Amino acid sequence: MVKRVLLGLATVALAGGFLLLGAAPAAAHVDGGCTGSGTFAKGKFTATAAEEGVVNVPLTDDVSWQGALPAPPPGDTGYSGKIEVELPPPFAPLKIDSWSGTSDSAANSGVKHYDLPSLVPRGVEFEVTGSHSQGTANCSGFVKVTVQGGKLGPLTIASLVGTLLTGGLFAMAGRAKVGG
Amino acid sequence: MFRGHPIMGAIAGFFLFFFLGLDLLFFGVIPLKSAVITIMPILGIIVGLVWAKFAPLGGRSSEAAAPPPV
Repeated sequence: MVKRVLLGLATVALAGGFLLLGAAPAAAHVDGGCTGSGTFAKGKFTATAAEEGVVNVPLTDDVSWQGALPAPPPGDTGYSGKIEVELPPPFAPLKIDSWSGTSDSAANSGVKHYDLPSLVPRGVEFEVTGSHSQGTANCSGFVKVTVQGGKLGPLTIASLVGTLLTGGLFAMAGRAKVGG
Repeated sequence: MFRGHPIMGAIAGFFLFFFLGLDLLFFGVIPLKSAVITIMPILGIIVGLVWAKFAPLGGRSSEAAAPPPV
């Protein structure tokens, strides 16, 4: 009986430790002095590069975006940049978009349509990172994003069913062998 | 040695903790980039083996099953 209690307490303590490790404060951050923002047409809100909370975006929308360097470049200079979604280690970040070329402009803007797959789970917090280098300007930053909607999607239900089934198997593994 | 079923314990522990990690992810407890998602299945194998070693559920041990001395 004591063994069972100790085993249970150890498992709960270990799981609790991991939960605390994983609970990072939500925020966005930009280094390098660049500015940027996006206005979501369906979402009816504007998110800036200095956003302080998790941005809750619609599954599909048109975003009017704009970005600017801290100072104009001295002339035609090379630029490059990318946007990625951070994945759990050991997986490399998932690249969403990248760009490169030459330009003497210090700002840009446009409208981008996006349409996320309906299977994308709604409660999950994605960290989207971006960087842009042009001449001497090097900007990078991240924003935390969730998709609007209820958390109980098909993937969540499948995961819960998987938990129940494997929980049953796990319990069976803990049955003592008769005469073994 | 093991009173329970170590192979089943390791496999079930791996998948149980994998799905528990997904549950935590899908309910917004941990972010996608969290290492917890990677660590959980490995932890599950260890917990599954420990679980099978002590096998606290049902059954009888070999000492209990052995016939009384004549």
